[in-house]
Amino acid sequence: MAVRGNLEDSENRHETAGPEKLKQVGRSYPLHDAEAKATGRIRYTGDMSLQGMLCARILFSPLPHARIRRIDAAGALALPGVYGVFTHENTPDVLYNSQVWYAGQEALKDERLFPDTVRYIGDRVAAVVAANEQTAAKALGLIKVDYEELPAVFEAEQALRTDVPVPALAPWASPFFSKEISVGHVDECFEAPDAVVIEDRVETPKIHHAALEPHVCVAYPDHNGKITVLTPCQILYSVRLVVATVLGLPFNKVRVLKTPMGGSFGGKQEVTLEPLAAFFALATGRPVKIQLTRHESIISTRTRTKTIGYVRTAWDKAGNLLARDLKTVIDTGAYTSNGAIIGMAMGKKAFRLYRIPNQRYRTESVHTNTPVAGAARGYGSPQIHAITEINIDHAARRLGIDPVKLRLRNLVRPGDLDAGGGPPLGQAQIIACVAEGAKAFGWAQRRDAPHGTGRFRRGAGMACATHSNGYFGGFQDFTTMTLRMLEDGSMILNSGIQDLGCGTVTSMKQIIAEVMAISPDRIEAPEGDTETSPYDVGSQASRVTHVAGACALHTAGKLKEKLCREAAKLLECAPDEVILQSERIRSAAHPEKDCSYGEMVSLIQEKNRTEIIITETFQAQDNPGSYGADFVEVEVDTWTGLVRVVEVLAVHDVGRAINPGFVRGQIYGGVQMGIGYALTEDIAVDPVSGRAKGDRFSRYHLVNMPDMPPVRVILIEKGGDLGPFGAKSIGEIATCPTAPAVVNAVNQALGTNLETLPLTPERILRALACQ
Amino acid sequence: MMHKFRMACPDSVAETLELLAGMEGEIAYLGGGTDLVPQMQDGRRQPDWVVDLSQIPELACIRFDGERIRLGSTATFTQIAGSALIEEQGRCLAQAAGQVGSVQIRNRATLGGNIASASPAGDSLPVLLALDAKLTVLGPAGERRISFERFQIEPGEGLRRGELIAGIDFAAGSRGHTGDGRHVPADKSDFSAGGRHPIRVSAFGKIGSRQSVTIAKLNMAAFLEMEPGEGIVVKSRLALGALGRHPFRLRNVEEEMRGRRLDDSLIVDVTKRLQEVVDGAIPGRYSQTYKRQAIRGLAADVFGDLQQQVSVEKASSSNGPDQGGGKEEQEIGC
Repeated sequence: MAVRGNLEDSENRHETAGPEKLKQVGRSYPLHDAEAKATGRIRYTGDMSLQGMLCARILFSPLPHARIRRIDAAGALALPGVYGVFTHENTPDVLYNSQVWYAGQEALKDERLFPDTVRYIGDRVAAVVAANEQTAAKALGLIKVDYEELPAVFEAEQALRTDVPVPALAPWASPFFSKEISVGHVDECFEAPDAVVIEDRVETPKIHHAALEPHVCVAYPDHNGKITVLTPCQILYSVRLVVATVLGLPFNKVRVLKTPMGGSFGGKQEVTLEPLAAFFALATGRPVKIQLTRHESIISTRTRTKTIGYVRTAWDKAGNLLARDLKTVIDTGAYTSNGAIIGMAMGKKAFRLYRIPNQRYRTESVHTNTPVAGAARGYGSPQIHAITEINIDHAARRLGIDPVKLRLRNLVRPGDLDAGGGPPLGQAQIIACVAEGAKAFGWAQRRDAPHGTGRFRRGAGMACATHSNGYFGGFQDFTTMTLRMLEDGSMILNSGIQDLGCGTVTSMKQIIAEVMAISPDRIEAPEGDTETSPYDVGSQASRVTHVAGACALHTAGKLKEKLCREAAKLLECAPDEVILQSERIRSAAHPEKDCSYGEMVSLIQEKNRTEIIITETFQAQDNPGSYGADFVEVEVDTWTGLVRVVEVLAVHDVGRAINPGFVRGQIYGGVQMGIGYALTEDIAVDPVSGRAKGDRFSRYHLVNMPDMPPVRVILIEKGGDLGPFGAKSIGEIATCPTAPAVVNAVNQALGTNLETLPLTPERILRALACQ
Repeated sequence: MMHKFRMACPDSVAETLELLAGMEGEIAYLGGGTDLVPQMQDGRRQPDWVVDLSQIPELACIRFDGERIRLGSTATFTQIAGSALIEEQGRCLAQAAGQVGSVQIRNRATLGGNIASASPAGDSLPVLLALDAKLTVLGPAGERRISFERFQIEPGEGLRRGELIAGIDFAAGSRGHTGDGRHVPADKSDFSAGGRHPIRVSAFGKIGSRQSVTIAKLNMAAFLEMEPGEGIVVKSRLALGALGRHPFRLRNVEEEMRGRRLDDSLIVDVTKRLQEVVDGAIPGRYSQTYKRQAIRGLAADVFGDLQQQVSVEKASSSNGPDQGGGKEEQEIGC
């Protein structure tokens, strides 16, 4: 195995020692459900079978843009075992936006369960609900649809051209969203006579999240008109919001339960199958399961946006970054989803990595007749960092300055403010990441090593990135948790957490265990249930450890206070004289009167007539940057155009690793995803037919284990921000620096300026032919 | 969705033929199922009968009868890739077998299945051309033997209704065998006279989108017979895949190689000819530009491998002829 997975916890961690010795935080416990997953005992949604459950299959549009003249479902309905055929004619026409996560959020609403005009190959035309998959699939083939084909547009920049008639995709013009953020005097800097101006056009592809588990959902009705939805998602409360809105139900008649996650990466951060399953369950009075195939998940759910970035930077000869002018054109596909706010998410990152006194960011979002883009690990961050970091290396080449030195000169420092007006950057340790990384990687030697002149050429490259820690500064961000200690001393955390396989459940347990002087396995921390759990914003925006983790910390702190207060009455001492240690409780004055947590909780119930329970709402009050730098060596076969990534070093400023094993796991996976983004992954919508070429795994190439290089990880843990024990996010930033680092390494190896991702063999050979 | 079908699980070839007589409708043979099962699941194939060949021991063997290497059609790629006999006597087949699909696919997928599926990019197919392999086909009309090349291109020579591929065989390719089925006695004096046995080497290479678990964009197999003293090419067979419906032999190029030394200038010349072959095979296709360039890398890989083998063979020829030693242990399932 290429990845080093069994490092000692102390290895490769650069910590500032805290005053207290942590017992639980900083240890690598396994995932709470790792054993059940590895042994196959866990029941994923696809494994679930409820009594009387029906299966739904969806008919997806074979055309990129067409009005549905007529749907003839008679043949399908006549098939024994078919319980219903659903189309735009017999389903709600309520419009919704799949990515809203709070009630009242403004967003273009242009999606409905089944449209009367399909807008891309993969749009929903109809669905059959039947006794089993086979019958449903057979019935799909019996539905006759009469389409009136409409002209379609597949390229974002074609959608923007005013001289070409573009079919109206939506009531909104193209671009449907545009915005500008500007600081300083950008134009003047570019006009300065001695400015070195570096200009690039970078293109990033639509990619598939490639979670092992395709999209799946089960819904069932009850006798009182309530619908329960079982879904492996990131956003329980968004599901409730959209399902209740589309079905016209009160929020308390929609119960959403988080099921075990078989991978998401943002792909299950939007509401896709849930309102369909809920509606079918309501209409048939039966439990209904919808499970997509891989092909269907690729074409019909969500992708990363295709993004075209125009970037110009102005430098002085010494390598100071004077100004940057950035523009992104965002192809969000056939429906809006997050097409507006993702452009802003990209722009905000541009002001938080380098000290750039003059910068302008403009973004335009357009619709095309292509698969719908939406949330994808990094939420715009991989796109914008590919655009900007490729440009920084281009500048380094032109200025004749080493890319590490050039970056060190311009990167932000701890305590810096956000020039774009966002929240302060906090303990931004990107300089430490780059400096430590360069040393550990042997950057200078590798960078100066000969590239070779024969068939194989070697090169080294690096890139930096920043990402957020929640919504603070942009949207409301808070979490509520209820924590209890039971009569045997065990504990239950009741919260709306959604573990995406990253270790949220275990991390929360570790944080609480640290405060309560208890073993993490004495805590139950079930995932969210919208009927019984307090509200949570969702497992998104890299907010879970930093914000929900802080909520767990504060809630545990309050619970401990209450326990000490109540125990003090019984121990006849002051609350601050109560000592909690190894799940036993005593007073400082009478250590001999020592009892277990369970005995004390029972006594408190009996004597004080109260329960050890706390409900606490935590509001985020900071949003520091997480930072990372990847160093990459590649070998390019100049005859076949194939790139082999030889080694990767990933250095991340995570503030504090609650569970270093999880943090490394995120980084290994992030690197894998980033290499794919740089080299092989592309849904590749054909510009003529609108059909996705990479619509199955035989034609959509993930980086697999044999192609994975050894990945080394260094964690910078200097704390200092408001996350629990100083912890900051890792799940999304883990993949952000990788792709540009790989591209920069290839460009160094070949002396090219490749800037259209992925760097396929064809593109590499074409660039070499142009040299 | 899987169509309704009936299944037969014979445990001998004789029983298979017996059962066959009573079957009506479309018959599909199940080897490893790596192609057939997905095809049946999505409805591309809807056979009335599925006949499982995987439980027939005589179809799973890999053996050497003194002249030819004989593989049963249900030998899996894992077995073939790991077979010392194949490595010794038909190295390119072992190499190709080791690069088919993933470990899981190789554990199930069979050589016979690869032939029957006839994917344009099937990795074993150019190899069977380079080894000049012959097939034994059984069916209602009895047994017929046919060269793989004719089998795949000649109209009416492919599988007919009810027929199954029982075996694949090719001439043993190590030193000590003529390659034409005639066994050259390992005569000490003969050997010490300067190694008059020809050197036979073969190699396979492919280019996909990644190192493994990848469908070939190009694949190639080469077999060379060299005169040992000067290292002159006496005979060669070269086959390319993923450039059309079937992989094909490059007889013109083979002819041009005859009489030449296996040196870098030969590789340069062959590469040039291979590029012309690509241009001729897929003119105007989007992939032409890439494939005509990338074939240079493939040629370098395959011929580099051959060169290396030749130099190893030459070095080891002072240690006596290899007779495919320990072949008893090398054989599988027979």
